[in-house]
Amino acid sequence: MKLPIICPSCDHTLNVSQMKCPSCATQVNGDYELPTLLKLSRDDQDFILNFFLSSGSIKEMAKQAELSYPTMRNRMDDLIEKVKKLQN
Amino acid sequence: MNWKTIFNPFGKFNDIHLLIVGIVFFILNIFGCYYAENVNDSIFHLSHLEDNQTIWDVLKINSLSTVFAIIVLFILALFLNNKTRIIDIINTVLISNIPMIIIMPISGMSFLKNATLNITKSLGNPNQIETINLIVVTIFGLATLPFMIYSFVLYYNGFQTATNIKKWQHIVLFAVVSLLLTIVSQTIL
Repeated sequence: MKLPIICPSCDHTLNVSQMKCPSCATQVNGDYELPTLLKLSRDDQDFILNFFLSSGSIKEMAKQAELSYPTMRNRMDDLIEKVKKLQN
Repeated sequence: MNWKTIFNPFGKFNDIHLLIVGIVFFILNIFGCYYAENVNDSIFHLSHLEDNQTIWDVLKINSLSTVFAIIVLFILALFLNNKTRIIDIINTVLISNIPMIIIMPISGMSFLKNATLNITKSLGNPNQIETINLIVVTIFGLATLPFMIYSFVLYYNGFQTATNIKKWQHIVLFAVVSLLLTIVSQTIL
């Protein structure tokens, strides 16, 4: 199941209010902010994961995605800007 | 290959492959220009080759105008995005010229040359212009238009992919620099 990160009503980033242990059913309630990376869209998270799995090589990622190097680098630059905005 | 790739091959294809294709067409363009008695004195512009000029002059002027365009665009690209690679700018200049290179041999055909010459000679007296010559030149002009537009689209998309520009101010700056580049290149070459 996909983790929703945006409020369907007002488009604000959602917070976590409850966590549950799948083993003993212990529940923790609170108001926790999502980590920066989890605030990104699923596609962006996958992109970062692929970047990590490619040992940080944009060239390798471009090869795997059958796209050119500047296309991948541009996407990375856009993502860096997005993360910087989320951190501020 | 989809429409997106046709209009922006820079987003999909490997830079080395694009460079090889660009260089092959650059060389073909020298022969095409010589056959059509034209010379590329700036990107997207052709001038008539003088009678005493040889294929070496075509090679020299075509090379200089291309290198000049690459240098100017690369300086602009670095100003807009310091991560820009020179190979992406070289590919932008070489690949965007291909549609114009493809139609080059048509402009060298004798019937079109004669029609253009006839119209040029009769400019002082428009009544002497033959209708058939006007039709030939108009048809060629209309046939050239899509190639020219495609060329501009490739030029913009190539630069956009190389630099990742998005702001309208950057796009306007790119257009202004391209225009100045064309004017200066035609003036000095």
